[in-house]
Amino acid sequence: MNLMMAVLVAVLYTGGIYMILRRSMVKVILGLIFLGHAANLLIFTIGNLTKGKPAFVPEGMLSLDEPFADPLPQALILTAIVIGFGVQAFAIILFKRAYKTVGSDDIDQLNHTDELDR
Amino acid sequence: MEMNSLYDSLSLIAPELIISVTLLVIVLFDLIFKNNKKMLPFLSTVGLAVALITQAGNLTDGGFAFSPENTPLFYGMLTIDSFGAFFKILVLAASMLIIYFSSTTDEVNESFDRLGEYYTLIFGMVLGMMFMISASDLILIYLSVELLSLSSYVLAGFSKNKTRNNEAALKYLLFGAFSSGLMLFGISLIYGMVGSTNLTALNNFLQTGSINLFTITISLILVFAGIGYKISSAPFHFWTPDVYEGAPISITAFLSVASKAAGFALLIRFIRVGFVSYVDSEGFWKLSEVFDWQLLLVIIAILTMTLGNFSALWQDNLKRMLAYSSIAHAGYMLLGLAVMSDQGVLAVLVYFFIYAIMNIGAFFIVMLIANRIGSENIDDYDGLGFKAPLLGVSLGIFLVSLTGIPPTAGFIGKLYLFIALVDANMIAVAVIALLNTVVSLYYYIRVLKHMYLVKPSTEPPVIKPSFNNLIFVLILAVPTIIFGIYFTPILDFAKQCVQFFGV
Amino acid sequence: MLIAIFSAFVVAVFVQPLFKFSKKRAGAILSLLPLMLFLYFAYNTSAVLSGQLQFETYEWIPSLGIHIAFVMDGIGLLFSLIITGIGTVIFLYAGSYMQDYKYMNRFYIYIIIFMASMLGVVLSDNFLVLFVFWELTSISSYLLIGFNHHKEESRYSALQALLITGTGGLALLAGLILLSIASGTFSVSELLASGIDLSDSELYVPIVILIFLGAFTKSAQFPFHFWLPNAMTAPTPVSAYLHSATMVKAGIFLLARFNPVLGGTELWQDTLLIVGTVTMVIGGALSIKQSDLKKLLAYTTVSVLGTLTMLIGIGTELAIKAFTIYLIAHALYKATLFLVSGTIDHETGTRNVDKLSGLRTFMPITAITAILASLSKMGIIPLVGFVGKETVYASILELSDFGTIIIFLAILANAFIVVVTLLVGFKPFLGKFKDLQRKIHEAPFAMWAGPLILAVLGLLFGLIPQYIFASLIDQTALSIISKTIALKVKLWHGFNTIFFLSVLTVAMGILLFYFRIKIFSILISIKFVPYFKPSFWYDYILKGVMTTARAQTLLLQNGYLRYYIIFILLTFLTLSGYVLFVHESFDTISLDLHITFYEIALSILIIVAVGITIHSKSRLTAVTAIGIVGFSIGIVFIIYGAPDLALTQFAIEILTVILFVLVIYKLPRYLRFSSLSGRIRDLIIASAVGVTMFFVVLLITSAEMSSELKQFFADVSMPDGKGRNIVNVILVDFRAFDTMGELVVLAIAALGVYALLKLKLGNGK
Repeated sequence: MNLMMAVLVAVLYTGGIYMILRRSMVKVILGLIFLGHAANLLIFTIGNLTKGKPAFVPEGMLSLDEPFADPLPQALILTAIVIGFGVQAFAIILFKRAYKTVGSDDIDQLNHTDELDR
Repeated sequence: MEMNSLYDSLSLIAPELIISVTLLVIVLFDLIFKNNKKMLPFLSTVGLAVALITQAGNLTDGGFAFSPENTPLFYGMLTIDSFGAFFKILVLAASMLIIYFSSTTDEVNESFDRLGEYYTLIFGMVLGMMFMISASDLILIYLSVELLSLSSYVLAGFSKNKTRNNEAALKYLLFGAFSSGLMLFGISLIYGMVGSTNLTALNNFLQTGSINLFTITISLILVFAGIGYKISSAPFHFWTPDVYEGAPISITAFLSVASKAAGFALLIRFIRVGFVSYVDSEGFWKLSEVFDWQLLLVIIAILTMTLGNFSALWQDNLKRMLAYSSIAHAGYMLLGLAVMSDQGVLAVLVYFFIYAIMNIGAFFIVMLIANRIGSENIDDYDGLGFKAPLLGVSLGIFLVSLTGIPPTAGFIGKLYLFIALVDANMIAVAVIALLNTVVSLYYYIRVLKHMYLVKPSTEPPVIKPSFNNLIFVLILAVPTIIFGIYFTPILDFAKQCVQFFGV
Repeated sequence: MLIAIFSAFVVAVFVQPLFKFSKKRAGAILSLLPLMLFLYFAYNTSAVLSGQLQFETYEWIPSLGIHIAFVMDGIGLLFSLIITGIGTVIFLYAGSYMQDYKYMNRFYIYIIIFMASMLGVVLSDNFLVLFVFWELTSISSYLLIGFNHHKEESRYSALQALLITGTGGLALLAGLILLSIASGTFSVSELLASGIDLSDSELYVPIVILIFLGAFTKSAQFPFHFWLPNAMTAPTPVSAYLHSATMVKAGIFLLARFNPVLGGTELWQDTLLIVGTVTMVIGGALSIKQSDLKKLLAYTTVSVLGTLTMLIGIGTELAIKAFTIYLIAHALYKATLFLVSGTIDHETGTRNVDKLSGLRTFMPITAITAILASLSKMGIIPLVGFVGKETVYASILELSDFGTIIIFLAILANAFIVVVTLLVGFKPFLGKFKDLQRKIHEAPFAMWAGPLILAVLGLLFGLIPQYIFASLIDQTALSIISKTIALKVKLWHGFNTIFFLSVLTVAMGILLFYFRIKIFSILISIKFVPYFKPSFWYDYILKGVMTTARAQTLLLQNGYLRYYIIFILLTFLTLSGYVLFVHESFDTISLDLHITFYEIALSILIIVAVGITIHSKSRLTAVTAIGIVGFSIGIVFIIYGAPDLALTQFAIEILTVILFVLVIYKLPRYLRFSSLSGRIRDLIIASAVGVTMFFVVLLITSAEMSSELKQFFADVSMPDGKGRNIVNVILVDFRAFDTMGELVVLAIAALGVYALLKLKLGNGK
């Protein structure tokens, strides 16, 4: 199981990093989404995978006994998903605005940095 | 959670609550009085002032906020202590200055209909910084970094229709999202090893647990990526010049001071709480031997200041030059931390206090001049010293102070740093820092040269700042000189604040 | 003493109103300041000379033992008298000389600050106070050199002087901090009184080198001598004051100040002896090539500074005696000659020595002044310069090892000085008048009175040296070599070897003077290989640093986001690779291979979808594929017991896809921008990161994690949190604070989106 997760995380990282290094802005944003997925899976894996046992306290009991899925990483992932979405949404809108001013999807159009000073 | 513990927690974070309330008030005010934007800076200042006073009154408070009492594993999500108070006071004071700064910046005031969002987002940043300063739980650290970052992305792209501005925001966002993504990986790895997201738990784990060096190294590098990007240390600093140049100048000043302060507070707390096993009688920190923070920080500090200074050397745009110079200053301050002693942290605190004053001052004058002549280019500064005598002299004071030449406050900052380094027997490092100062001398003085010595090709305009702006400049320039001679107050304040709660 | 220094700063504040009141008289009025200070120091003379040192201490940084402390001892007093005495003359002179300058008021502010700082340097009893004032003199010097700022040359020299002395100053700071660590005190007088021997300390060599750097740069010693002649672009009163009489001697002062503690070793004495001698000769030899009055004088100043350094290097009682007399003699005649050259410039409009002659009939008083000072400079009996040079020769002759060589070099250097003196002091006034197409007359009173007094003092001191110098030398010696000396000072020692050498010097000088055109042309024809000129290296280093800086910035800070990210990734890979290499630890990996068919299918689906996203040429396909990745991950969450996560994941995934489609719907074709090699490079980097993460996941899942927290939540969720879904309880109860923060972040993101959309509306108006 951990082997499968390791492969998935590795693939998502590779894909994400590769995409983030592209020149097309859309691809960069897609890359960020990949990295977000990768992070979530990573956290999830770390919380010791437990198949099919959600962290619910059963009716009529006061506490839950092992094995059950670690709830804390889940809370962390929820935070990460939501924040990731916020950032993505803003990135997409910002991308749209950048596209309007630059007129291209090419991120290399955005390097008005040291050149202007020469 | 016990109710009285909740109340205790709330009273501990009173300044943060005041900031949140002000944020809401601004939003509501902007919704109700759509056309009365003049009140916004005023409201913001009042909110910050109340928070500042509250914070100053709670200077010596110490405690964990939001820690359920019946378990030792929580320790608290927030640590309230005088170390945090120092940085919070710094951030709040800097924010007040920036609010005034913003209200006089043309770049900001052009977007009349969006001023409400502008000030709201500033408060979003402040809130993020305040939590970053106190956070002692990794999840909260991540959250507060994101809160600060998101607000800053928006503000960096706030100006109207400027390609550069847009570019700044997008680059900042992508770079930031990437770095905080790295940090999140690091945090999850740490959780995977420790089984808790609390820094104190991390410390306990490092002293007792079985440690896989490879994993811990990777996780720490990743966490450092997130913090390093906030304080723009090499190699996470690349966004800085582009963003600083593209963003509205008030935001640039804010990022270079307050945001950096919060980042430093976070880094110092992270290392101090998470890694220090004990502090010896001379104030030197003994770290768990899993990770050589000192080596990493020394290398990064040297890289940071050298890259910053060497890039600043040939910049013609003053805003961009100050951006590089602020990278270099982060390098000096990192060296202070790299000493890994109370003395070193004291040096960082003193340095930061002074840096905040002089850096905001320098940016403010650049803004005033840009408002008038429409340029931040050094060639357009020719002969300005005579046409704007007070601004010229003040900018001169700020730049000399940034160089670290006496009798300005900047010298005191550098002095404490060098003494801390030499005390820790890090003489080679001190020499490199000194050489860096020599390099910085060149580009700071170059501005003075243009202002006073170069004959302008066309007669420069006379710049007469308004009375308020003049007062603002003096509020920053006079302490820069005074603290260069009489700085016991800063020192006493900083000394009182090297205390960490709960370690 | 603090009051003396502070009063000067206070006066500086009132310069501006004073100039509003009367520009004409301002100079004369302001010259009262140095005069009063001179009288103050003169009043203290008897006390100091009888051995009572004056101390003053104010607390500054008590925690570090740093105080604003002053001490007035022999050498401090000597310098203070020179600073304020010469200062009086200069202030008076400049009031008239600078009348045509637009920013004369600024000039006075700068020069007053300079004077106060210089007093601070020589009187401070604390390393850091010393350093603070030291840097202040560099800054005020920068402002004063750049005062004629319409000239590019002037700006260049000002910056050059500041960079060199500023760098030296920082070296000095480092040296002083190390010294305080080695000796345990920041106080000069405590250090001197402790009689501590630092020569065994491991810090000794760095301390000495750093302090040398500070002193040599400030006092224009070889190889840093070149900034001083360049600094002659400053107005003449500045050259006379800073660059001959006072500031350039600060380095010498520093050496003298620390001589008792750091001196006595071969490193210290021999370096000073050699550097001093070389500077002495080079200053003399280079002077002869000049034709500008001030540059001629500047090179002889370099030569004299070399001589003074050499004397400290010799370090005998006689040498200290020579040091004191020579210092005073030089201050008197050199300031005079500078001012005279300023007067000539002011009246005739040129400083080119070849154009000047026969001025004596038009400016008799200036001529007398110049000739008196020149005689002193040439070392003609009975002027003080004669006494000075005689003692210098005498102290060289005492040297056992290299005495003969050095005396020869000293005579040579002094012969050059004689040539310069003849050129500066005699030639413009004697001979036939050359018409300069303007009416020439004597300078106004303020410009001749001061120099004349200095010149006459030179004569007076020469005639009765025993009354002037005796106790001063005693106290100076006490400061420099910690003992008093019982040597008598006399004008006339009889016809001995030394007198013969003096005569020889003058004779050689006169000979050189007559053949100077020939020598000059020979010197010109020898093209100095540029590598031998330190100024070449200065320019070279400056240019090199700028080029490197530029190249480095263009390489790293190229504005391309992906390169920034690549740098970060490479750092990450290098560091993790290093750790992997050093602590290889894969034996702890335990693989868990229980895997079902549908898990494998799901994994393949994700991998394929990732591949499609990367490879797709259509945005819509890419977005769809990434949606598939998201949904599949949601299914993974379900399989491993996290239904809440899955729900959130699904919701967010739908929102993202919708947002994407809405925004990118109208965009043109999806282009492939990067080259093949770029793609391969990126793929390698990405795979390296992927592989690293692969191992990290395996490592971390193989280690046993403490699950106290997990069980804690399971136990308290129901009783305390009143909820069965533990994840929910955590979110809304135990970590409600985080959830709050999360909401704020989301709100801020919404606000950002709103602000951006609003901007679009704004554009439409």
